[in-house]
Amino acid sequence: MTRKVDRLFIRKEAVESYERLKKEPSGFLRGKENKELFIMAMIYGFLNKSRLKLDKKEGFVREEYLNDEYRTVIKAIAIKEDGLEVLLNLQKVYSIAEEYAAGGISYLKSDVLSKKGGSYIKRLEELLVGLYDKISLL
Amino acid sequence: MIIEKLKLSNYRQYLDEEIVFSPMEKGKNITVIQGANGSGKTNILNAITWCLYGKELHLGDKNKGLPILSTTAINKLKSDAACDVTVELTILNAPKNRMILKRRATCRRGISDGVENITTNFDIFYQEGHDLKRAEYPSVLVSHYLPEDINNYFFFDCERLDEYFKSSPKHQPIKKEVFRISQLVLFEAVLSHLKKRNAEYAKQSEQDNPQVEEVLKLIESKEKTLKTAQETLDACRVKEKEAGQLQKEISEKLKRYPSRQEVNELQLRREKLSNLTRELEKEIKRTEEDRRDFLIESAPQIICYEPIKYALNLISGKIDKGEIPPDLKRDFLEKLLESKSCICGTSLSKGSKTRTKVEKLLKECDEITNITEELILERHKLEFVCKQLHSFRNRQIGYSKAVAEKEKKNEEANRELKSISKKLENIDDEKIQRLESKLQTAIREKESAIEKKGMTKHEIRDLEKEIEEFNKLYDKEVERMKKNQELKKILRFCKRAVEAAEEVKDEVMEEIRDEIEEKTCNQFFELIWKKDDFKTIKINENYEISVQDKAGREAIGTLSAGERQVLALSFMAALNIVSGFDAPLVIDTPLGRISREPKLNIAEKLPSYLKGKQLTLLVTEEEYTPEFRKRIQKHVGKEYKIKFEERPIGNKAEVVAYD
Repeated sequence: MTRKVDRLFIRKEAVESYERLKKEPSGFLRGKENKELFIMAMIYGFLNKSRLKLDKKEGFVREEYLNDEYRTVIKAIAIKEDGLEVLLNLQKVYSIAEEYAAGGISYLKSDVLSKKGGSYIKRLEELLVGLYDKISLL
Repeated sequence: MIIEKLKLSNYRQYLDEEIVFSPMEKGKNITVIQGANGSGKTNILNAITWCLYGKELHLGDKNKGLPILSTTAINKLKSDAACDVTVELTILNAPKNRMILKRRATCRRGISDGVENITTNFDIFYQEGHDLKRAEYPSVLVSHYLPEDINNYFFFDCERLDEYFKSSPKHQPIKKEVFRISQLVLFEAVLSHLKKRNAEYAKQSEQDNPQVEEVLKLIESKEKTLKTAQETLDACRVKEKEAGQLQKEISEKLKRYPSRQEVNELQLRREKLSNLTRELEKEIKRTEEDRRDFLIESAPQIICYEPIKYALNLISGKIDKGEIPPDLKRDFLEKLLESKSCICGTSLSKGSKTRTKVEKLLKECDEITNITEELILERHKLEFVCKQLHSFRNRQIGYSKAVAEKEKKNEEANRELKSISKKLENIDDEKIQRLESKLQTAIREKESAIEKKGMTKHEIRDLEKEIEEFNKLYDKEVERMKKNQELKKILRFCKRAVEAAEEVKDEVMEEIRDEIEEKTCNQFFELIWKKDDFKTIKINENYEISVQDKAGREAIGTLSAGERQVLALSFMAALNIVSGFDAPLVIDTPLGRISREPKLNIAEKLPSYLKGKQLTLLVTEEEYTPEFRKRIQKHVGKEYKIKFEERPIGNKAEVVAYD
C-alpha cells in the first residue's frame, strides 16, 4: 500500500470560486467547510462526467477532516473508475476525487449562484428526489 | 626567483650545453655570457622564451625560417627519422623550491630534406619536500610566475628596447604592462568584484520595491469604510430601538385605548400573532438549516449511488466466491519466498520443487489479497451508506412538510395581522387611524433597520477580515522595507569601498610612477656623460617618457642611440626594482651603442640599481671590454664565452668558462 495522503488539492484557478461560494450572502454553501464544498464539487464533476487534471494546485482539505461517509464515496468512485486494485494506491484514489472536483466546481458555482428556476435548495432537492426515485436500493 | 641552469640539446647551434647561472651568493648577482655577433647569444634568450612560452621571441632575420632543430642533428638524420630538441630551464623560486621547466619538440626529417615538427611537449616538475611532482597545468604556472605579456620587462634585447623611447606613432603606451608588472591587478580584481556586487545590489534594490505606503493607505481607507459601517450599524440599532420603542408605545396606547374594547382586543391579538410569527420564522430558519445540511449529507450518496452499488456488488461477489478472505495472502507468499523457508520448515531454496509450487501460487494470487481486511470493512461501510438512503425520502418529505406547515401557519398569522391592521386603519376614529398609521410606519422602519443592520454586520465582518489581511501584508511590506534599507546601507558601503579602492589604486599608481620617474631620472643622470644637456626626465600617467633639456623643451628625439639605451636601461632597472616583481633579468646587448664613459658608469652602478636581482648579460667582446670587466667583476658570479664553430655539417656553439 502506498503512503498515507495528507491533503486533497484543488486547482489554483478554482480558489476564487470556492471563496465566492463560501462568502455569498444567503448562499446555499455560505459558512460551510472546505470538505463539504470539495465533496459537492466532486459529485458535480461525477454527475457531469467532467474530470480535469490538476496543473497548478493548492492544498484545500486535510484528509483527516473527512468523515467516513465521504471516504466511502470517494473510494467507490475510484473503484468504479479503476477497479478494486485502485485501493492499493491511496494516492490514485484521491487523485481521481481531485480531478472530479476540478471538473465540477464550475458547474457547482454556476448552479448555486443561478437565480433561474427558484432557490438552489429547491432545485437541489428536486434533483436528488428525481435521482432517488430512479435508483433501485439494495 | 633566479635561473639555476639552462640545458640545451640540439637547439639551433647548441648541440648539448649546460649553462649554470650565478647563484646570487656574496653579492654576486651577475652572469656574463660573451659571444661575437651571430655566435648564438640571442639564441640563449630565444631558448629561454621558447622553453617558457613555446615561442622564440627574439628571432633575428637570419634564423627566421630555419628549423629549430640544429643543422648538425638534421644532417645526421636519415630520411623519415626523428630527433628531439630539448630546452630545460631550472628555476629556483625560494631556497628549496626548485622548478624544472622542460620543453621538447620531436622533429622529423622529411623525404625532401625538410624538417617538420611532429609533437611538442611541455612539462614542469616542481619540488615538494624531497619529491619532484609534475604540474597539472604547466602553462598556467608559467603565466603566474613569468607572464608572457610582460616578459619584455625581464627578458629584453636592448637594441630593440630602444624602440620604446623613439617618438613614433607606432609606440603604444605601456601603462597596462606597468600595471601588471607592479602587481596592481589585485586592485583591479577588488574593484571589479566590488562593482559587480554593487550592480547586483542596485538591481535587487530596484526590483524590491516595498509598498508600505500604498498598503497603509489601503488600510486607512478600509478602516474609514469600517468606521462608516459601524456608524451605520449604530444608527440602525438606534433606529431599530426608536422604532421599537414607538411601536411599543403605540401598541400600549391601542391596548389601553379608552372606551374601545374591540381596539384593545385587536391589539392584544396582534401582539400574540407577532410573537407567533417571530417564533415561526426562527423555527423555519432552523428547519431550513437542518434541511440544507440533510441535503448536503445525502447528495454524495444519491448522486454517486451507481459507483457505491457497483463497489458493493464487486466486493460482495468476491466474498461470496470465497476469494475474500483468501486462503493465502500475497504478502505472506512473498515473505515465504524471501525467507526461502516455509512455516513448516520445508526448504524453499532456489530450484526446489516446493519453491516452484509456491511461486505458482503467488502468480495466481491477486494483489488485492493484501487488503482483505480493508475490503471487508469497506463492504460494511458501503452497506451502511446504502442503508441510510432507505430513509432519505421519508426524511426529505418530513423536512418539506415541517417547513410547509410552519410557513402556512406563518402565512395565516401574517394574513390575520394584515386584516387587524386594515380594520384599525378603517375604524371610525381618526386618532386610532393615526396611531395605526404611525405604528405601521414604525414597524416598517424597524424592519428596514433590522435588514440594514444584518447587511451592515456582514459588511463589517468582511471589512474586518480584509483589514486583518492587509495588516498582515503591511507587516510583510515593513519587513521588506527593512531588508531594503539594509540593502541600501550595503549599497552605500559598496559605493564608498569602490571610491576608497579607486583612490588607493590611484595613489599607489601615482607613488609607483613617481618612484620610477625619480629612479629613472637619477640613474639616467648618473650614467650619461652629457649631464648638462638635459634638465630632467618626466614620466606621465600613461608612462610616456619625456626628456627635457635645460630650456624645458622635449628632447627625447635628440637623444643619441647610446643615450636612448642608457635611458632604456635606467627605466627598466627602475621599473623592476620599484614594482617588486620577482623575475630574473636577461639583457641582450645592453651596451651595444654606449660609449666608453657611460659604459664604465653602468659597470659601476647597474649592479647596485639591480641589487637582489639576478642579472644575465649577453654581451659582445666590444661591449665586455677589459675595463668594463674589471669594474663589474666583483658582482659577477659566472662568466662564459661562446665558442662558435662554422662547420659543413652544421654550425656549433659551445658555452665555455670565460678563462
